[in-house]
Amino acid sequence: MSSSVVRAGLVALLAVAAFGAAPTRAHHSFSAMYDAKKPVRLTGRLTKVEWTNPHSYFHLEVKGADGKITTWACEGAGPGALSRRGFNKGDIKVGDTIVVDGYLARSGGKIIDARRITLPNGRVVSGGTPGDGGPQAGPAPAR
Amino acid sequence: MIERIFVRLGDTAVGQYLASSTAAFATVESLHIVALAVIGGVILAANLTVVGWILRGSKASAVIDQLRGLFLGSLVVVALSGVLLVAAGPYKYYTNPLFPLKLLLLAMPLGIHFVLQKRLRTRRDVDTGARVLAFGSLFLWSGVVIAGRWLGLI
Amino acid sequence: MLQVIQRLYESPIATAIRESENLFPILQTFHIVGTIALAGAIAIVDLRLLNVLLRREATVRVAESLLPITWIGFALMVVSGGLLFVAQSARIYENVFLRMKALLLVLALLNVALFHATTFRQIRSWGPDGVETPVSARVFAALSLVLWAGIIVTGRFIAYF
Repeated sequence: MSSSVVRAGLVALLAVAAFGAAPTRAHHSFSAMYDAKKPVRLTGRLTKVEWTNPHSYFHLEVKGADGKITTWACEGAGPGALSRRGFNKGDIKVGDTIVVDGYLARSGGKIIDARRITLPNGRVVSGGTPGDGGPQAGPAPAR
Repeated sequence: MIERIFVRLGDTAVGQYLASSTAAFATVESLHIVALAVIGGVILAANLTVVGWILRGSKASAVIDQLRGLFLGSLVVVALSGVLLVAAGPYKYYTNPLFPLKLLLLAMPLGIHFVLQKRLRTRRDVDTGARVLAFGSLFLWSGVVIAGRWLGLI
Repeated sequence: MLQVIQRLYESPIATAIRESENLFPILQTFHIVGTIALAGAIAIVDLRLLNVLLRREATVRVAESLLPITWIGFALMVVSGGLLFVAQSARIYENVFLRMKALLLVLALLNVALFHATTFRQIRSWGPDGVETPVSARVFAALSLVLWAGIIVTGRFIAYF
């Protein structure tokens, strides 16, 4: 009996070892480990909306002063938290131009947290992950 | 005044460090959960004994006595790691209504625990009142865990 | 393999959970409750095996009392964990901490199985009023504590890296 346990265990271990040996990649941080000293304001065209748990993602094409287009990702709260604030899936769609205020991710990637989102109709919603310890109202808009 | 305590906590060196280091924060949070699992085991074992579902041959007060060391030890770790988590980002807890609820839900079963212990010692071990207290305790502890999880979700 | 994961990720059930308002957080809640039931009950049994606490209670009675709770906890974890994994599979598949957690989980389950197949069979004779808990049982118990703690830690780290 114990030898079949050992055999089953070895098979399982081999499977996991194969899983472990496959290429890995450190994921971008899901938690709000963003740098509160680096506020960012992005104005761009939505190219992709991920209305997902544990975090939503809004992908923007942002045109720089030099005309160059860069793609940014804005990480927001899950659908439940967003809808509780009156921000629903149908409020935005691909192609819309939105303004997102947030803070730069510590990982250094083109990622900010979607602390404040200004929708095409001018409505402002809080997109950030609740209770993430970041500044409550988000960065003050640059004048 | 309470706000000032939270702000001061956030200004501590350890609070600042935890706010700036993802790995350190994740470590403290993991420790919080491990200690939570341990204290959860103690609470389950103690209260289910009082209720009479497990360790039926034993005196409930004796079982609780034997679990006291681990209960206090894990409680200290949970509390300390909890304070550190708040220090890493005090504003979020200060403004979240679920946080005081979680603390209230925590205070109640702790209070029940002392009442229950006294009751078990002064009476001939377990009676209906003790069982009710034990059930209530389990229910409230579950509330602490649930409130803790939903803190970051509302 | 990546294709299988991607198809799993895009399946209706995974998508529904991932885009849900409350189902995902509810699954997370069951996951933490299950963690406490499973790991907490295991911790008590392991500590009894290590003769650290509940020394006046016979080891077999402590084990018999708490093992059913571990089964309930395990069931909660398998269901909630499975669904949570499926909903996030493509996103977290390459996460190094997920892989470590999977490895630790296999080792922990192997540890349990081996223990029950061997040393555990003599449990009725262990203290109090019986013989001392054998060294092998204590090794299994110590390993168990380390492995399950490691599973909790690596599990939490998935969200951060």
